[in-house]
Amino acid sequence: MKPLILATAFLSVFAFISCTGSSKKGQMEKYTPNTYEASRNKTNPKPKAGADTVLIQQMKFVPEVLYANIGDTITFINKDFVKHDVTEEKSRSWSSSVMNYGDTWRMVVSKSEDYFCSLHVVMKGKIITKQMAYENI
Amino acid sequence: MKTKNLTLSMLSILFTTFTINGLAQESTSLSDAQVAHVAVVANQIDIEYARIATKKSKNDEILNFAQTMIDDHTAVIEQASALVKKLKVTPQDNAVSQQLLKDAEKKKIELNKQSRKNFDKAYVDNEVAYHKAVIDAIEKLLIPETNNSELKGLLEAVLPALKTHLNHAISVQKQIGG
Repeated sequence: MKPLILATAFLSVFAFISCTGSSKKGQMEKYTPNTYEASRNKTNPKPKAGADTVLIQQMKFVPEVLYANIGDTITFINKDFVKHDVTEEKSRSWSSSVMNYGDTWRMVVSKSEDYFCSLHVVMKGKIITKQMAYENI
Repeated sequence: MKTKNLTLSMLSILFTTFTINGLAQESTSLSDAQVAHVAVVANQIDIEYARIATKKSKNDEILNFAQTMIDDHTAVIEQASALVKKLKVTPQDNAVSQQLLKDAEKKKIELNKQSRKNFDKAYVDNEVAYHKAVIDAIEKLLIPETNNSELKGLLEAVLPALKTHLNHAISVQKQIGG
């Protein structure tokens, strides 16, 4: 008898949590569509919370300096009709490879990074982890 | 008359190596069809310079820059071609296009004659000068001469790429000790 009551109580609490949970999620999605034009690209899943976008437009990474948390997903979108890439600057340790107009590429932040477009070497950008930014204050 | 004189003096500043006697006999006020022609020709010329570089240079920075010039200027020509098709405009040959082509023919002969040793510097020096001249021509001659807003928009959209090319060329120039 007792276990049954407990189980029912547990279930209803769970149902309540998942209800509020999903309504919050719904709200968040209402905010995002304009921020992530990447949603056009159906092959990639939608970025999760803690994600940020860098637009490649008019031969610039926008924003040029992005502050992010370790573990955040950064989405790069090429809005130019010329090809670009996103490549680690010092030793080319990682690269998006060539991105055509409208292409998106995602990376997960593990540390601060200096990157550039290896096709237009004067186009540069930075990701600075917030942990790093605090240490420097 | 005022526009004509302004255009002529602009051209003489931009392309000083050439006499402009030929241009003086014609109206140098450009129609949109002529602006589109100039835009395509100017891009083709830089692709041709880059093709010479891909054949003659062994320097990675030069080869990377030249390939970017081929890709980007091809992309600009594709945009321009799509736009004139949409606007139902046929690009029209004109004095400015002819001047650019004449200038380029001489320059191509000069570049082809360069020894491998001197080629990289000659190529990148020309890229710096050529991009400066083209940026100037677009800002001061082509954009003001263009009536159609979409064509004007395309010329404006190309400027950031040309300015990036110029800075890229200057950085390569420094690297090879130009």
